Amino acid sequence: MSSPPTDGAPLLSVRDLQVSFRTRRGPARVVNGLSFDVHAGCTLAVVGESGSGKSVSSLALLGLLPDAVAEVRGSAVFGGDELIGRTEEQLRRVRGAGIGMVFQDPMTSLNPVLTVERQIGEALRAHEKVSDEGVRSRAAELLTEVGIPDAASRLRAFPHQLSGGMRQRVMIAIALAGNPRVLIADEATTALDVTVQAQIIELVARLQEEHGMGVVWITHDLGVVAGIADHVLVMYAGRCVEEGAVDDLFDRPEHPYTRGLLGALPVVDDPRPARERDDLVTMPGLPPDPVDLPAGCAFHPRCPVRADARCATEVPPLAAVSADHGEAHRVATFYAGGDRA
Amino acid sequence: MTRYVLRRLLQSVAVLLGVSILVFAIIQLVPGDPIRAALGQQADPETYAALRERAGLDDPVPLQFVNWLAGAATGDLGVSFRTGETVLSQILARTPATLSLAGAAIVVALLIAIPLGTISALHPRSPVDWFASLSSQAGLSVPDFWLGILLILLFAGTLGWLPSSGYTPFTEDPVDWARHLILPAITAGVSSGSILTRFVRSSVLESLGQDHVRTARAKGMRARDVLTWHVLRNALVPLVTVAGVQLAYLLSGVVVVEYVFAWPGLGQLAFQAVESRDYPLLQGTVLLFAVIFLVVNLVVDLAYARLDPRISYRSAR
Amino acid sequence: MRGRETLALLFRSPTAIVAGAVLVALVVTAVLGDSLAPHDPTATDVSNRLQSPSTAHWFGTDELGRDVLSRVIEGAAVSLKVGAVAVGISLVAGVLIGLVAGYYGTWVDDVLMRLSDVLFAFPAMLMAIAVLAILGPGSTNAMIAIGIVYTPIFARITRASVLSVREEVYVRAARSAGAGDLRIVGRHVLPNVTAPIIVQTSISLAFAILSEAALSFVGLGTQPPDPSWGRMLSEGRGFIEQAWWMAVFPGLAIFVTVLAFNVLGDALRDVLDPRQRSAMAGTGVTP
Repeated sequence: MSSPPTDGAPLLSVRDLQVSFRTRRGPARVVNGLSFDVHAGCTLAVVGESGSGKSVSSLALLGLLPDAVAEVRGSAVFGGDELIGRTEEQLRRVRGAGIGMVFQDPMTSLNPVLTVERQIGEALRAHEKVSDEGVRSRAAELLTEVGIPDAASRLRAFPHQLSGGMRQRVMIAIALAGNPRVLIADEATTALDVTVQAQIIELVARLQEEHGMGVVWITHDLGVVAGIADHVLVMYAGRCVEEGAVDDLFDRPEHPYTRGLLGALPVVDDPRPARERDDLVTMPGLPPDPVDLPAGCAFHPRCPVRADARCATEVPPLAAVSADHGEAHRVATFYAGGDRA
Repeated sequence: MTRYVLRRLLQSVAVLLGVSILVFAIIQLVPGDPIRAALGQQADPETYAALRERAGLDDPVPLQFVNWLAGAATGDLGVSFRTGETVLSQILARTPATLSLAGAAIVVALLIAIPLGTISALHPRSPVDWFASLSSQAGLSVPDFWLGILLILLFAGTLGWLPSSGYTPFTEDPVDWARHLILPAITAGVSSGSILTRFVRSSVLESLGQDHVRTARAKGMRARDVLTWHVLRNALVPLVTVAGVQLAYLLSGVVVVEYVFAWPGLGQLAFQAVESRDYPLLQGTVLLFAVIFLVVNLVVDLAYARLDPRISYRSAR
Repeated sequence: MRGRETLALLFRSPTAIVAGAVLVALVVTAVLGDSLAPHDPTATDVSNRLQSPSTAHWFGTDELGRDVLSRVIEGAAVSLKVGAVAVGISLVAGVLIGLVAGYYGTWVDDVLMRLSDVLFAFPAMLMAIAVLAILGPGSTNAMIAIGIVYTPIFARITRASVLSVREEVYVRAARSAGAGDLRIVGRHVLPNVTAPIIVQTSISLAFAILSEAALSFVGLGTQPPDPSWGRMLSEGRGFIEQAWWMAVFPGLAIFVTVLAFNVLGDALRDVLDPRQRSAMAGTGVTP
């Protein structure tokens, strides 16, 4: 596990991203000021419960949310260009070619009535003129690259004729078709069974190395994060509550929520080290309603610590943890327990 | 799948038998002597006796039914009380007109429904959507005979562009056939168009929310290509079956429209049969409509079961 | 309580308010009839025949010089009556059949449902025509014919609702506590099937009024001299070149009435159907 190279400009730089949806009950504030960088050759893991805003953030970057209900603000610079507020056509050129995406459920994410060749071909043709033979040979190459044997005959298959793992490989082939510099994998292994998950993770890691892509893994599965991430960002209620280099964050989590996820809360008497836990610990309570976010720290109603009177009135700023932690380790909490105490 | 087909076939045969009993009962339920009612009191006694003999009205009722059913199964629907022609030949003579009208009406319905339903699904809660929902509500509520009269008033009367009524067989003069067809087809197609508009809207809306549409956009495909290949293509597969059901409704639903436009189809034939108390003719047309309706519904159900294999499990209760 | 909530929700839909207002006005028109009509709807005045709409005759006059507006007003009562009686017949017969089929199940259910399959196989208009061919034309027979046509749909809806509540805990509890069938149906089953039936009643009223008009238009429904909208339309059709108003206004009356019942039915469905679509449905986003 290498630590992220801090030299060189990031491929993608997101600053203060905010997304809200218009609903009948009022605006639902789903993402509330999220910032992160994606560097070439590095993997950023975005971790959170469902509803924490992690998927919405990535869709917002590419303008894939419905304009009629979604309002996106903030900044996202990719390859020197601002993405937020761009026209549909400008964003379209970035989709697939600049930033590729792999989604959760390969069954529903592929069109059931079109062949594999057709669906990969669409991704190729979206950004350049390609002849039919060109599409066929390039699509077969891509299938081989994502580890599908007998590519030529698989091209004629429909999605339902493939296994779940195969389908996800096809999704990855589609995402690779435009030669993206950033690959966003949105819960890409969640719908798969465990052995297949491992294969897909390995595949993405290999492709990342070969293509030098920046990868964003969006997941709720800490097992995935521990294995491949360089940098981890923990989201709660549309905000980053803690981020840092993977070893640093896993060994010395600061935020009560992160500790909860890792099963390392002081109140929870569990002798096992965090690394031995492979999934989110189920915490009591539910994430807040984005239409009716609590005042102060969004986590405070569920927080077992609630260290400070300000918890219920002020939003704790995201600030660097003391110097003995990794340089990029930052946390948003008033709690000063654990290692800092 | 085979079990489902068999089951569905058997069901249709059972319903068809029930339908036959009811259709057969029409002549039995008429108060008094049906032939007397048709011919009037001053009928020629010989004609009267011949018809009574031919219709077998003196046999016991169960035997009459068996004979009638056996005849109907082989295409013998009896002879008209009025003209003495066979019912089948009269029905066959009228079928092309009704088929043209119902076929043209479903085309009109689809021409209304696909664009309007798609546009309103693409802009939900917009003024266009509001207009589409209001006009489909209106299209369902407007009496077709009134709409027909209004169209005649405007396009045949005031503007003088199209003939107000009548029919030319396609084989005689295709252009004239089409000119006569336009107004009746619009009149008959509006209500189906309204139903289909609602269907297309909800189908496209559902399709828009599918994950694979998001994938297509994430590939960087142009919006128009996404709409054609991933939204519409998938949304319109079920439309085939719904339009089939509408066609079945239209085949019989055009009766009043035929009346308004003096369109010599099966509906007109049914009215003639009622007016002249020609009961064998009425039985024949009613039976034919019911059979068409049953067959189209059966075909649609089986086609749908092929398209969606989950169906056969679900309805095999 | 439930009824009041429903009303409150209905009042939030502007189209439902308009539709409700139209229907109230229509019922008032039908009840007051004669006293609202500016002229005697049957009084002929040949010197004033085929007059176009004017301040004296807002909707013009017909071929016998009768006031079209007065006849349209008079026709409201006929249309509403035929529609209400016909739907009343289907409602009572259909709900009874549906309750029996759904509640007792087994062969009773099978027989009744196959019977309704058979009735469903006949296109509605054609079946009404066939019934009238047997019974003879006239408005009473038209009510019966339309009533028969719409009975199976009520039976099916009722049966489906009964099936869904039959195995609910409270119904089983009442049964095991020894409550009689009638009592269980009246206290536990019926209240749960009212919502879909109310919706269907409104929609059926629309179609019954439309069917009555169609039957009268082709001469099988209401007979002269009663001023049914469908009949007036049919008479006006003969004078379409000279007097458009004779066909346009009665048709407009049918259209508005049917539209109001349909809009109300849709609004009722939105309010009473618990499977309401959420604001986000169909946008492909589940934040």
